[in-house]
Amino acid sequence: MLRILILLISFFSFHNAATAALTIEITKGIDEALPIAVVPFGWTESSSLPQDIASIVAADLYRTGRFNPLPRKNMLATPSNVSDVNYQNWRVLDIPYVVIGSVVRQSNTQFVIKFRLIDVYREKQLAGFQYSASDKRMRKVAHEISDVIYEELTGEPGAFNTRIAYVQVLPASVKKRYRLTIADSDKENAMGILASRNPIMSPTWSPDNKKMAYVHLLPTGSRINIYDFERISNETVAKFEGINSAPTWSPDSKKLAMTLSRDGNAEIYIMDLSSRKLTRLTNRWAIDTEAAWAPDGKTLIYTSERGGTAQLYQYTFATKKVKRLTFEGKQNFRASFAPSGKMITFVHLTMESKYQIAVMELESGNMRILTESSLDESPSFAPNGSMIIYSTIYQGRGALSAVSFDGRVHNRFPIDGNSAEREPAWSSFLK
Amino acid sequence: MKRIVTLTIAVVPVLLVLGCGSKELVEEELTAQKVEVTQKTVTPTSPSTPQREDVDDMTRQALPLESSTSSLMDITPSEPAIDPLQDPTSLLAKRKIYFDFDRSEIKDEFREVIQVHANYLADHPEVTIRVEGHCDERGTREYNLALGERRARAVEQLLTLQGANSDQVRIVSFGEERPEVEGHDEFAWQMNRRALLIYPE
Repeated sequence: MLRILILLISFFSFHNAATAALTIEITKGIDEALPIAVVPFGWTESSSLPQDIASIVAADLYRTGRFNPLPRKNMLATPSNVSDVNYQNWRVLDIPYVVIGSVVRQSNTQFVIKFRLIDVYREKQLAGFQYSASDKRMRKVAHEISDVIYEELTGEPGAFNTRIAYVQVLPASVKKRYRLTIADSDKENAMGILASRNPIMSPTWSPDNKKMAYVHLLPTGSRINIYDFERISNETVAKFEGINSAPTWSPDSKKLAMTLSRDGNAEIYIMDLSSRKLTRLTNRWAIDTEAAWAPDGKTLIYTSERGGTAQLYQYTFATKKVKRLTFEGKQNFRASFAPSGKMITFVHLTMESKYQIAVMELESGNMRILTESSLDESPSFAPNGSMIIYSTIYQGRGALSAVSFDGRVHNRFPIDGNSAEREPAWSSFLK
Repeated sequence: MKRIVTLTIAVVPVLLVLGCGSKELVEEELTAQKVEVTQKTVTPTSPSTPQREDVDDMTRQALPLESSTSSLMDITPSEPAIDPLQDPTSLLAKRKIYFDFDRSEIKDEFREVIQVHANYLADHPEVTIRVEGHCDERGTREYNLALGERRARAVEQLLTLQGANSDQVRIVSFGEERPEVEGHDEFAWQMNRRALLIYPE
């Protein structure tokens, strides 16, 4: 009985721990960040707001390194209606853009949230929306507001209302210490979806965001599973002799490229998920693994050490031709495409033997190293291509960090409790 | 002597469908919750504001747990007088083979150890062993899963070359996922680049 109780407690505390407040540390930003004021949202009740929407929005914008939100204590006024905005109050502070809004309770748990983005110098509204949401979804509304502001002011879609998945590893004293966790793009709202005493690896979202493929490393060997968010099911799709690993989805979410060694050596195969039919793509004595599917579906980029060291190669389906892509540094691993398909991010082993995150423009072949530590891994692009999330070692533990695609903005996500975190994967845009 | 055997207790939400048979208890330890990922709620603030239905928030339900315990008699076979496997002074007691960074070739210093194990297996065709391949944390996880397999296979090949039957050796790779020494330094890396020979209990 005691045993059951302990299990129950750990099952629930796992969820509570995940809701602890986090602050993202921006470790490197850009000088020309745009000043903006996100005024606390109007709220007439005496209790505090279910979510401080303005601070979530300000943190979202700040994290991109492209905005410099005005601290609340420096605001001369905190209007929540357009008619209350005194433009002079913001001009004297050199604030060109102001965000105001309000929250009104509709029923016990239902709220109406309004916001407006105002151009101070032109005295004009640039955007304004109204949302209806429960208290639990208010954080999501805040991210949608951030998306609207980001797009209005940068011309590019925001990726705040998206999700990340990652593997959490709890201390060895915890029985089911491996967790597959998903969270909002700011790593808040984290929630475990799978827990196991055996390692979970390589989570990857289907492009339609409905499923997640991952590797489960059992004492008897590895297998590829698919977790279905709609059906809440968990299914094994590959458990062949040898390794079953490195799943990656086709752009239409109907096929899975994977690494199997059932024929004696790690090779890349494509599985049609409805028929489960396998097609073998590579045939070498060398290790071929870590396929990434181009967003246009026409090519795959994978890691192969056929040349003696691990390098990236691109396979074109139409011609069946293979081209080596990387020549710099000692080795290059695990490519992942930018949503545009024009750029990849990957792990680069430098001449000084540091594993760092790099990007390459496929057309020119120009490569650039983005990070500075020595054990960086698992880079994954945000669906708008602006940031890359990856895992690093910070203070001796696995931790998640993000870097802008141009290397100018760096930030580090705080870790939940005493776990280690790794293998982040960014979702597509939520439809 | 009695030994208590506790069966795996699985916490499984109502709708979870497990993709495997009951033979593999290890997989049942996965737990799942419903998570909503695809909803979006935007309505423009203008003349008429159509309200979007707010879709359900997450729900989660835990099923009652079951547990069962049973006790088994420990049947200890009458041991032969000398079991070389149990002899700590025998080379058979050495069951770790270490590798160089990113390599899977068996180093000369471990050939004799593998030879002794191969001889033992040749003399005991009923014994089956498992060879586990492991890596240090450097390099990507998936690449290391393949490298770990190659290390295990290198040991398997030498064992069979030196007299073991191929069906006496099973291999499995754990990549960098089960380090022997935690840490991010040269010592930990050296200790973790290994293959283990595992005899049945």
